Amino acid sequence: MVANKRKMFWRLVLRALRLRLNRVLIIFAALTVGAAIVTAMSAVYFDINSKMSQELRTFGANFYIGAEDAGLIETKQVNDIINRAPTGLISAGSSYLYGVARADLEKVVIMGVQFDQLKALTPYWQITGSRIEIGFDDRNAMIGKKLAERLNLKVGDKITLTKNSMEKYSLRIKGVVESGDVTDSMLIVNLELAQNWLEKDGLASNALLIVKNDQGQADEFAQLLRQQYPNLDIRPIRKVSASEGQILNKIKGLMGLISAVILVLATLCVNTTLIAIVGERAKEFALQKALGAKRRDIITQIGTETLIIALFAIVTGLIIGYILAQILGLTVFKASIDMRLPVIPLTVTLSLIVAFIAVIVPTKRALNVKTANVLKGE
Amino acid sequence: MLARMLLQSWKNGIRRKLLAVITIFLASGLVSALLAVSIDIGDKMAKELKSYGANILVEPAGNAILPEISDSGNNFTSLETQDFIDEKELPNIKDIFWRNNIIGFAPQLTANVKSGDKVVTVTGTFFDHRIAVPDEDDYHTGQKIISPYWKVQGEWVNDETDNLPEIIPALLGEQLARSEKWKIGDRIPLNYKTSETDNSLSVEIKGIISTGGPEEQQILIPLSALQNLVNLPGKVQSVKISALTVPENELSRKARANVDGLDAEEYDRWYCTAYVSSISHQLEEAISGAVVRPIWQVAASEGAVIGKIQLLLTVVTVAALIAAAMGIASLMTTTIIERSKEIGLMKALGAYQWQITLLFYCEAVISGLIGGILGCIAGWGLAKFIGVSLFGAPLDFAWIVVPCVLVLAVLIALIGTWFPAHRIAKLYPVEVLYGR
Repeated sequence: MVANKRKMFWRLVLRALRLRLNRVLIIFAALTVGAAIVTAMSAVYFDINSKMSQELRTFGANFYIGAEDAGLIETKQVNDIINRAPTGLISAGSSYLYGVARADLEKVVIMGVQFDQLKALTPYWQITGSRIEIGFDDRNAMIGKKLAERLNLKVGDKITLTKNSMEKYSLRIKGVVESGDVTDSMLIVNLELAQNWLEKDGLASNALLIVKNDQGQADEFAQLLRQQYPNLDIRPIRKVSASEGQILNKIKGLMGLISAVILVLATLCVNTTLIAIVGERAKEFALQKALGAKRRDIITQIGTETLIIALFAIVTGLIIGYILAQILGLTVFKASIDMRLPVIPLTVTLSLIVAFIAVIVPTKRALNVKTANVLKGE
Repeated sequence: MLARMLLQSWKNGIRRKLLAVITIFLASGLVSALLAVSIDIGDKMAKELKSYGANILVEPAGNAILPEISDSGNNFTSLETQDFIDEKELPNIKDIFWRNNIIGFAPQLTANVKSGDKVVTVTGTFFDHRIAVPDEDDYHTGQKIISPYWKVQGEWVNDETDNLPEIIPALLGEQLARSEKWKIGDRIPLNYKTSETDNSLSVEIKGIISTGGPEEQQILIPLSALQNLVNLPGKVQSVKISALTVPENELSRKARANVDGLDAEEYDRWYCTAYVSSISHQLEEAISGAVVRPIWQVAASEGAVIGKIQLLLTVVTVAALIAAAMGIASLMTTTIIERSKEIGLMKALGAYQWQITLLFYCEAVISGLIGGILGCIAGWGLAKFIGVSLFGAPLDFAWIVVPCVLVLAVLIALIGTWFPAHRIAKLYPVEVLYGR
């Protein structure tokens, strides 16, 4: 008897799925779209912090190392700090050496810098000509816009540094830099060249770093370094580091709110579709009831049907959602979105809840109507 | 006949229609809210990004000096050889075409003065100073507004008016405080002496400031106090301005390279858009004897970040739109499949195929319109809610959203109807009536 009943149950479920393929497909599609949206939005939401933090790197360096007594620091120390830091914490960093040198006609301020790090440290520079990106390039230099105007230099021109009226050194101008700060009046050269020319081997005025700061690590890092190197002045550049957290919170909040709105509305949309489809089956339920099925039986049967469709829909939705998230990541951030773990349980739970609410509620309602009325067609 | 059938269909199948309207309402509410947010987000985020500080710098035109080398301080040129901007020019900043985009500004005057035997760098500036500008009676501005990233322990200096107390209140840079062992409440004598002048004053430390910039090694006092000390009344060295701008594009880059190279129409478009370069240009016209330059660290990065956020929202909006469209289409399909019997009957009574599809299209348009209008209202509320909860101010709802969303809602409803309507209308009446 029990075996028979079970056989009947599965037969009803499977037949319902097969014979009503049209409706099943619509339910499937609706649930898939819902699941895909949930997956994509939550994936983007969980990953937005690290992605936007990457974008905010355009503001340049957020960490400063200098000497406590306004003197010079050793580049060896800076390199030590960079090398010893946990991997991934420091994404770029360079020592800077400033000094005055004599050019053809007048004195200029030169800034020695590690060219290979410069692009990450100053992505905001407006450059005419091109940026020097090779670290050991000591034949070319970049020049600040104001200084270039004063010396009447253009891209491709040569500037000659002189020392003691004996030594001469020629550099070709590869790019003119406009940054809106003091760099505009400086000649930017290779760090080693500046150290040699200014006779300050192994020394630098200060160093600027980019420290990963999506959870406020910069402050902790500064604390730690201050203990290790008490003779250095080490501090996060608040202009960049403090603003970053604030902006990230805003963006995260925005994304969270929008994701929530999309989730709620998308699930409601799916809900209305499901309700419409189940409402249609009132007659079938009435017939089953007339044939002696109990309420519980019908609800279990509908529940199983929904569960089967929902499971398929969730798997498909997860895949489509993943693809959607990647498309979004590639168009906006030019990088793939990492799938965080909470995305999957979130999608599964939400989809199942939506599916069941949307199916059980109208079924119960349909069952409450008098059987005879439904069968008669009223 | 058509009108009557429509009416009947709405009267009798109200529950079913309601579902369609609700779905369209939800979808268009979502889409209109997202559209409104993505249109206004640029302005709102620009305001948030003001926390990075000033994006425009004003300096005297003739200032061809060697730059101050930060943190070594040894070749600081003496004040006597420098050019200055007149403080009188400051109100002109708020008198340009884009005056409402100017969030605030702060003038600066920096001098090396003596405190006992030690040379310290003192900067005079506005903290939160009241200044008379046209059309705004109670305008006050200063570092507190344009440098929100400054962290002050203790209290800010009150420099609302020029009537300062005998002992000048001051902020002390954190690094200077550490190296000199000065604390809040300390009084520090300052003395400025040249061949012509010999002035002194004493300042009281009200707060310790950390910024991560050169201010950490300075003492900051109200501008007028420093002007008196160094005998330069009404003079400032530079002005930092924080302005709301839109991201740079082709046009503004072209203008920057060569303003005279623009034709009249391009020039007007450039001049009347809040690019950082056009605002700088207007400021240069307004302030005599000054050059105005964007601080690219802030100006260029701002543009990049805002561009990213706008792009992000656009993509999200498109994704939501597609999802909403699929939701509406699937619902439309169900509502029509459900009515196959009715269609069979109509066909049996001799209705043409186009009459049946027309009926469905009309119903779709009506549902689309009702749902769309309600959705726009909901979207308007939703956009307000998002604005208030995130930015503390309601988002501006761009009215262009309403027609867009209405057209979209109707279009999607029609597309969703098209496929099932055609398929069903093609069926033989006997098939549908029989229930296959």
